[in-house]
Amino acid sequence: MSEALIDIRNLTVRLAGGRDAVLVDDVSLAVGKGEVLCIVGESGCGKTVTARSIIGLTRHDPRFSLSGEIHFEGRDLMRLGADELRQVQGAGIAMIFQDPMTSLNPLHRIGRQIGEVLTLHGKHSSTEIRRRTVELLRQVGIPNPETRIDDYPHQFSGGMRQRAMIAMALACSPSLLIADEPTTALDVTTQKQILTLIKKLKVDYGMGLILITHDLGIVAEIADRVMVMYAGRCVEIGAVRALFRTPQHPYTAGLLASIPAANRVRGERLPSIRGVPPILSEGRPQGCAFLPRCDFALGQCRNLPPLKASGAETDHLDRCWLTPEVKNQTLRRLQEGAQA
Amino acid sequence: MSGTPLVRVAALRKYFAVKGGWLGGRRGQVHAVDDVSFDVAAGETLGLVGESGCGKSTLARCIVRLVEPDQGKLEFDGEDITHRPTRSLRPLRRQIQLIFQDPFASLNPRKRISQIIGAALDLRDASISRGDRQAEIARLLERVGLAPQFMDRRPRELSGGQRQRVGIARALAVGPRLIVADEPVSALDVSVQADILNLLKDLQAEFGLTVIFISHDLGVIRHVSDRVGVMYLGRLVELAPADQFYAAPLHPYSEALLSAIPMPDPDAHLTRKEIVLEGDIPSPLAPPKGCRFHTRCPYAQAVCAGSEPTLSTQAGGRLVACHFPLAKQESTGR
Repeated sequence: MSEALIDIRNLTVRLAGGRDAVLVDDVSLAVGKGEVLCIVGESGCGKTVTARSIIGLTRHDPRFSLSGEIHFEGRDLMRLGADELRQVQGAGIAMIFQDPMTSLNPLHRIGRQIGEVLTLHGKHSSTEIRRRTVELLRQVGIPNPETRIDDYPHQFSGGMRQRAMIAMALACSPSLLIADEPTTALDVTTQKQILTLIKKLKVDYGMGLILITHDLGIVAEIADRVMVMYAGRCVEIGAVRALFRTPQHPYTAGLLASIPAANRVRGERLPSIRGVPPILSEGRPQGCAFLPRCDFALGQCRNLPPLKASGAETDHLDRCWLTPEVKNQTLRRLQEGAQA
Repeated sequence: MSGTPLVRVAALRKYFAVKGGWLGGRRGQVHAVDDVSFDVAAGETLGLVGESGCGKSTLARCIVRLVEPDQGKLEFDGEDITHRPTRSLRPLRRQIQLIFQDPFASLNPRKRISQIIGAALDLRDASISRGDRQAEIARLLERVGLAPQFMDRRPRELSGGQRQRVGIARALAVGPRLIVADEPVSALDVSVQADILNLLKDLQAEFGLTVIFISHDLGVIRHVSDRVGVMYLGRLVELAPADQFYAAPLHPYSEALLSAIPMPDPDAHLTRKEIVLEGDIPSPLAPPKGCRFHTRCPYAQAVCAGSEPTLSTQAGGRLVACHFPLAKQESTGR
C-alpha cells in the first residue's frame, strides 16, 4: 500500500443522550487503491455503524455523536458541510447494503433509480443516461439489459437486485466502495456469483473496497487485510494470511476455531466461545471487553490493552496483553486444531 | 441400517396453488416437493441441504405433518401418517418435534419461559403435579444450558442463542423420538452457533434421538450429519453417506454447491476447483423440462433437456439423479 485512498483516524461513535454507550471506540484504519479491507465481527460489534459513519450516513442522525478524522482525497470528511458531503457520497465513495429489496424503491423502475445517481452527479442528457444505465446493467451481468432496465424491483430475483444495487454504486465510478454484508441475504451459489463480480469490478474500476461481513469464509476469499471488531473496538488488524495463520487475539482464534467448515474433519465437538458479547448500548466490561469470555485472562486484563504489533510483522496489530510466546503457541494451536 | 426405518418417505409430493391470477383464479402451482423418497434409520442424522425454494422447509413441514402431502406415502415407525386427520395427530406430536429457524418468531412473546415449556410438558403428561412440573421445567432448562431463573423471564429478555435453547428444551419436553430441525442455527452468530450444534449433538446421543437436520450451510451439515441429501427445485438429486459426499460429490449441482461455500482459508482457492453457476435458480412455479438443473449445469448435454433422470443407485450404493454423474477422480469439491 503506497498511498492510502482513505485514512480514518480515531473514529469514535457514541450514542447521544448522555448515556455512556460507545458504539465505535477509537477505530483507525486505512485502505489503499485496489485494496480490499474486510471488517468482521458478530452482530452488535459496531461494524455497520463504522461503515455508515465512513460514508457519513450517521452524521446527521441525532442518535449518534461522532468524533475523529476521515481523510479522503485530500479532505477531512468530518469537516465537510452537508452539500459537500453529498458530492462525495455516491461519486467518490459508494455503498451497497445487505438487503437489496429494502434498499431499492419498489415504486420506481430499476433504470430510473440508477439514472437518478447519474443525474445528481453530473449533467447528462436523458438518452445518454439511458445508454450508460444499460451499459452498467450489462457490466454487472444482467441479461437483456435493454429490456430489463424498465422492470420494477419485484421483477428481479434477489441476486439480480443485488447486481442492480452494485450497478447503482458503480454509476459514478467511485474510488472507494463500501459493501455491508452484500451477500448475506443470498443463496450460496448466488453469493459466489456476486463475490466473483465484485472481485472483477474492483480490478476493472481500480477501486478500494471495504467489505463488512460476519463470514470468515468470505474474508478468506476476498480480503487483502482484515480488521476484527469486538464490542466496538478493533481487537486485531493485519494481512489476511497472517491473521488466519497466526491469530494474535484469543477472540480471533476462537472465532476461527468455531466455524463448522466443510473442509474440516468431522469432530465430536466444535470449540466454542462461552458466553455472549456485551450489548453496547448497556455498557461493556472494564478493560478488555473480551475478558469475561476469555480462557487466557490475566489480572492485567482489567486495564485496556493498547493496539500494537506483537508478532514479526509490524502491520499486524492486536489489542491483547498476552505475551507473544503465548499468542504464537497457544492461539496458533487452537487455530490449527480446526484445520487438522 | 437394519429393521424398519423410523421414517420412510416414498414418492412424496406437495404442490401449492398460487392465487392472484385473472379474477382471483389460479396462476399456477409451486412444485415444492416433487416425488421425493428416502428412509431415515433410528438414531441417524440425515442432513438435507439446498438453496431457497428447493423445498427443504416444505419437506420438513410434511414430515412433522404441519402440512398434508398431496401424494406419496409418509411412514413413521411403520405407520402410515400421510393423510392422518389433524384431530388424531396429537399422539404423533409427542413423537415428532420441529425446531424452527427463527428463535424470535417461534416463541410466544406474551408467555413466560415456564409457560412455553410447560405447555409442551402437558402434552406428554397432563396429570403431572404442579411441583413435579416446575422441577421438570428446571431440569430441562438446565439440560440445555440455561439457569432455572430463566423460567420467569419472557422471550424478549433472551438473546438469540438463549431463545434457540428454549426452543430445543420445548421440543425435548414431550420426549420425542424424531427431531426435525429447520435451519436451527442460521440466525445465530458463529460463536453461539458452535454451542448450539454441540448441544444438539449431545442431546441426540443422550436421548437416542433421530434427527433430520435442514440447512443451506454445507459446513454445518457436515458437522452433524451421517448422511447428506441434496435438494434442487423440489427434487432430491443426491443422497450419500456424509464422508463420501464431501470427498466426491456425484451430482454436478452438489459439486457446484461445495465449490461455492467460502472456505475460511486464504489459500483454499489454490487447491479448489472454481465453479460459478450461470443464472438464477428457475422458478419452482415452472421448473424446467428434463433435468431441472440442466439450465445451469456446466456438463449438460442434449439428453438432459429432454428426459429427467431418476434417483438411481451408483457403485457403492450411492444415489444420484443425473444422466452423467461425476466420476470420482474428477471432482475436487472437498
